Amino acid sequence: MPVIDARDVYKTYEGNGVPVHAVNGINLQVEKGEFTAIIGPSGCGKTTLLNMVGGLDSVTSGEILIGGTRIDSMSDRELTDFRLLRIGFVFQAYNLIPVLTARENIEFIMELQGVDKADRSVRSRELLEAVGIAEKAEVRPALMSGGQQQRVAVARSLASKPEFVLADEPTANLDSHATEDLLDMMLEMNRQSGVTFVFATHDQRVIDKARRVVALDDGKVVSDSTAH
Amino acid sequence: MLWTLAWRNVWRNRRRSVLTLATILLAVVLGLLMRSMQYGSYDAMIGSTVARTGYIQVHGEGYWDNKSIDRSIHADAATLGQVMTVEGVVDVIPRLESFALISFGDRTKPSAVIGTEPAVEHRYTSLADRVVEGDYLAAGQRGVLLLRSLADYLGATVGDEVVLLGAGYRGQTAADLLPVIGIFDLTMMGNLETGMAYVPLAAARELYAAPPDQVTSLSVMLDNGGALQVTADALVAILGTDYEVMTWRETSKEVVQQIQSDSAGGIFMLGILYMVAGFGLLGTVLMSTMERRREFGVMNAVGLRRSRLAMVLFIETIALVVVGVVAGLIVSMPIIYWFHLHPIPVTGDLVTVFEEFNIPPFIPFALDPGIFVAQGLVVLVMALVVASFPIVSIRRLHIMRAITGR
Ligand SMILES: Nc1ncnc2c1ncn2[C@@H]1O[C@H](COP(=O)(O)OP(=O)(O)OP(=O)(O)O)[C@@H](O)[C@H]1O
Ligand SMILES: [Mg+2]
Repeated sequence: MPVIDARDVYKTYEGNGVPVHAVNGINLQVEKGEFTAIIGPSGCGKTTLLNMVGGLDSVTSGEILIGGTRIDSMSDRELTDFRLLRIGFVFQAYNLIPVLTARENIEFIMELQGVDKADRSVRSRELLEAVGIAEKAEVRPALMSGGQQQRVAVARSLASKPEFVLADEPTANLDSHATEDLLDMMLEMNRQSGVTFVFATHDQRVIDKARRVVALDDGKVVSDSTAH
Repeated sequence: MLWTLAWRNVWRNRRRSVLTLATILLAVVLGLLMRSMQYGSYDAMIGSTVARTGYIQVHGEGYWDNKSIDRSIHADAATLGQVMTVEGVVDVIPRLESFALISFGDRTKPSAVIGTEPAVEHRYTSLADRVVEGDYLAAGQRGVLLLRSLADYLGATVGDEVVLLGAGYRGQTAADLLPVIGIFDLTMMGNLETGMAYVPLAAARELYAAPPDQVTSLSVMLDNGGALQVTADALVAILGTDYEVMTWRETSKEVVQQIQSDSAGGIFMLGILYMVAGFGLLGTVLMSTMERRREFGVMNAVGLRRSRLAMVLFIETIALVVVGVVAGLIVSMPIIYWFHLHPIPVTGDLVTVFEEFNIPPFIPFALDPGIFVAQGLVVLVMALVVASFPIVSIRRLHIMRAITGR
């Protein structure tokens, strides 16, 4: 069973009276352990697709199943809990909570999940080591570089042991060195622990490392290729 | 961690939070000081009023509207004893008063002639301290105490005998010749058209040809004014409906009105104070909510329920208010306590009024817990109203628009 199963999904925005068909009939299945990039020109619907798959936005029609569970008809509250327990997010602008330290940003998610204190601190230490910034544990985001913040964001997205991580342009704000480091780290996690990553990206370096590349145009899948 | 989050958020924009706190603190301090002073002055006004009238007066039915000696009542030792048994009553002053013409030589002036129990009278009105010539009255003595302006008008001095002439009980003639025992002075009564004279109760009954134990009023003194109406009701229950039982609130309506209008002014001021503080707080809360929309979107995206997010914001607002109020209390308590122990001197006309009734001419600040409770409630309501704004904005939050800033 695929972890992500989007069936005949449409999304239409009623922008200024002119309907915009941002996603126009997409079928997409993602299996456990994939390292997949969704690409395409600006405005082709990558972000919209990712948001619907992540339960951040509603579908106009179609079905979205995550690990076999339909999420397109859930209430706001159910969806929030579902995201908390099953999906990891990495955003372009890092989006850490500014008043919390790196460690607290990670533990915050686990606390929401009801993980007890001892387990939280063990796991947050593991995660910070895995993303290679254990020494920044007690530092607040404002005092970290973009690359470091994005590492914390990746660690945060994994705190809930999600079925997959959705990352919308995670490298767009990073220089090439930081991009390289971050990608290698994520690939490492993918290989070692089988974490599933789905990216929406323009970044050639991400595309080069992806094992599967899904290309969109005008809200439709135009190609889907898996490298070997 | 929600508490940590809220608390750190409060201190995120330190200057803004401090400014908001200062506004709340100032409103609380000014509000408390003002109300405490007002309540203190009301206590003083009430104190001087009840010294004059008693907390409660008992008359014959209809006496208050038509002060005729014919509406006097029989109040023997048993009746007084009954009144004394009522909870809270500490003393009863029986008086028999009416009007008479007082003459000396060829001069005459209409005058209130008040028969009273000299010792009891002094206990509450400090009348003996007002005697400027001669002596104070003694119980059972045949003699009269004249108001100075009256004595001056008549040209009478201590030892002279004055003629009292008027209408007595049930149409009898009231006529007597009494020696002037002493002359008293009440500055506030100095310019009355009519005179004023005190005689011992027995002498008054003789003058007005009233039966023994007859009085026109009983002034009832209480240990405190807290249960005024309850005590009045208890008196009605004991005495029956032939009597007119009136609290000082009824006999001194002008004092009640003065307090009410002054208090209304105070409440208006409080309203303005808390409006300023409230809008200051609202501004801060709205700004910090708007600034952090993206953050809220992210927190909701990664799994923080809207309800808990709203809770964080609610705690932030309440925390800000609680800190402001507590700081305000800490600042104002010592000030209020200081002015309670070292009252502000009163000025102007009030001084004479205070002195007349042997009340120190100072306004001690009231320590009434009701003042603190009332303001606490006002601030609480204000905080709840303001705290509800971010909750509404969280309910309406659209995750993706918040995150992308669209
Ligand atoms: N909230 C919205 N309201 C109206 N139209 C929207 C909204 N979000 C996206 N769109 C439109 O939907 C289409 C797809 O947008 P989307 O953000 O998914 O593209 P994208 O592939 O992520 O682009 P980019 O590469 O620039 O991030 C665009 O035409 C966009 O203008
Ligand atoms: Mg996009």
